[in-house]
Amino acid sequence: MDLVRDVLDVRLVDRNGQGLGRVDSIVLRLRDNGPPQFVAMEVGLTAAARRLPKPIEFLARWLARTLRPRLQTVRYGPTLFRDIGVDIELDVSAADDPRLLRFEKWLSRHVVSRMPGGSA
Amino acid sequence: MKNLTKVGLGVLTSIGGFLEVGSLGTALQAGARYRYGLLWALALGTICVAFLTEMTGRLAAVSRHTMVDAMRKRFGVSFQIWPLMTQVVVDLLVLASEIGGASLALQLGTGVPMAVWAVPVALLVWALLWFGTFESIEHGVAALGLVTLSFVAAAVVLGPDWRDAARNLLPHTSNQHPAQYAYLAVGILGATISPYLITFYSSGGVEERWKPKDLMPNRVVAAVGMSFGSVVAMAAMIVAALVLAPRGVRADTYQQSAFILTIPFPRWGWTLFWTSLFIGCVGAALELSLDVAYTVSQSFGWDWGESQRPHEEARFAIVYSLMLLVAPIPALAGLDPLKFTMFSMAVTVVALPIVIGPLLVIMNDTQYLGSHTNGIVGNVAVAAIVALAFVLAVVAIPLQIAGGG
Repeated sequence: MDLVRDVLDVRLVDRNGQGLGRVDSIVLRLRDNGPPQFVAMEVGLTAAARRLPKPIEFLARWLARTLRPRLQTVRYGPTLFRDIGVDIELDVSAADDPRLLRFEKWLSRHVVSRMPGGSA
Repeated sequence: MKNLTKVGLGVLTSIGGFLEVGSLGTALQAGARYRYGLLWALALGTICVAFLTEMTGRLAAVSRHTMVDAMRKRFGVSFQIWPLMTQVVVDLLVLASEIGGASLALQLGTGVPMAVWAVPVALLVWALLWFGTFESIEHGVAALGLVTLSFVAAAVVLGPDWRDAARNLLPHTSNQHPAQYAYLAVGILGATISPYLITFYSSGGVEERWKPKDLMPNRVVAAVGMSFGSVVAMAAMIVAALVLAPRGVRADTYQQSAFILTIPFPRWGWTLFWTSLFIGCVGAALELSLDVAYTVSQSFGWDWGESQRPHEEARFAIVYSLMLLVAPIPALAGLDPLKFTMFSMAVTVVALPIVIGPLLVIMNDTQYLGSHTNGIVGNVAVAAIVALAFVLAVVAIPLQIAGGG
């Protein structure tokens, strides 16, 4: 598997097919006696921001700090892989894990559902 | 019958390309000033758009992924941020033009000033997206869009010289105010080959759950749908040539052209004109609002889809809601929609290469398309369109300065 070609920027979905975001960065551990080891995939605005031009990175970091709830970067380890194709399927459930899709859930509960027809 | 309903996506897409405020406005101006002399620009634009929509529809049918999905994965976020930001800006500008166009249509129909209608029009578009489904929007706009065929009926009633019209389907230049002629040609091509048509159509194919067996219907939908819009826009140009040109009307504003259908249809012409403009603009506004939400959601890997309830895809719903909150501002400020749309079109043309250029790579990616990658004809076509897009992008701003007045 080529991490940049097959993993970076690929869409992640949970075991129910719900979108979790895209792989914004990859965490590697450097070792003295061997090639770097794949530790985790990161999803989040600040993770993506590191790969963007400076002014956009600054704006993205400001947004991540300012918005409530905070836009936190989530890490997924390689043990969670279920299937790799055009999308990568992970052995997690966004609906059951409060750490996942926090901003989406907050918007849904506190904004959209309170508007007429938002949850009908 | 199922395949017939797919044509709705083609018709909805083509309304955004050919019958929205900018396209209709430039068609009327071109007819009023150069008679049939710019029919070729519409024909060329139609061929380009039909090729591009067929390709992105094929991508959707084979991979169940959109062009934006493939672009982010293939080129990474550091490249994709540019087409994303460009498209959000372009979509917002054109959306503001459409809200203005629909408001102006209501002004023509009721006499109440345009600025009064801007917020109600934006609210109407938002409510249709919030409460409706993709299918209901697609079929509703496609059915109501049939009223625009009144331009075709008008052209037939007025009896143009069809041979002269057919001769003008081949590209040529004009000695009469060449800078303005070139400016209008670029404007027509820019309004027709719009980036949002391409990304919207591929998202629509995924919304409709197209599969590889839909490849042939996709070709038909791309051709028939785009031809629908093109034929109506050509008819509008022909009617302008027969009604506005002999009277010396230059069609600088919509108010000048609004009587155009009253010559062939004295009783219903005025109503047909403003309802056609209103439906075209509302259809395009729906398309643009969805396109922004599609593009942003797909770029970041969020769930998206107009057929889900808003609370199921909150970020997607919030993106189009925010766009519709901002879009009425130019119309509220009283900016003339035709002048504003000319500016939006120049920006669209400049943005074109960055959005469609990646298709050269994506349409040859076997991971997405398997054995359905572009053949030699498809690759030559997309290369030629990208080259044309670069030329348009380079000349658009100078021509707006030289010929826009």
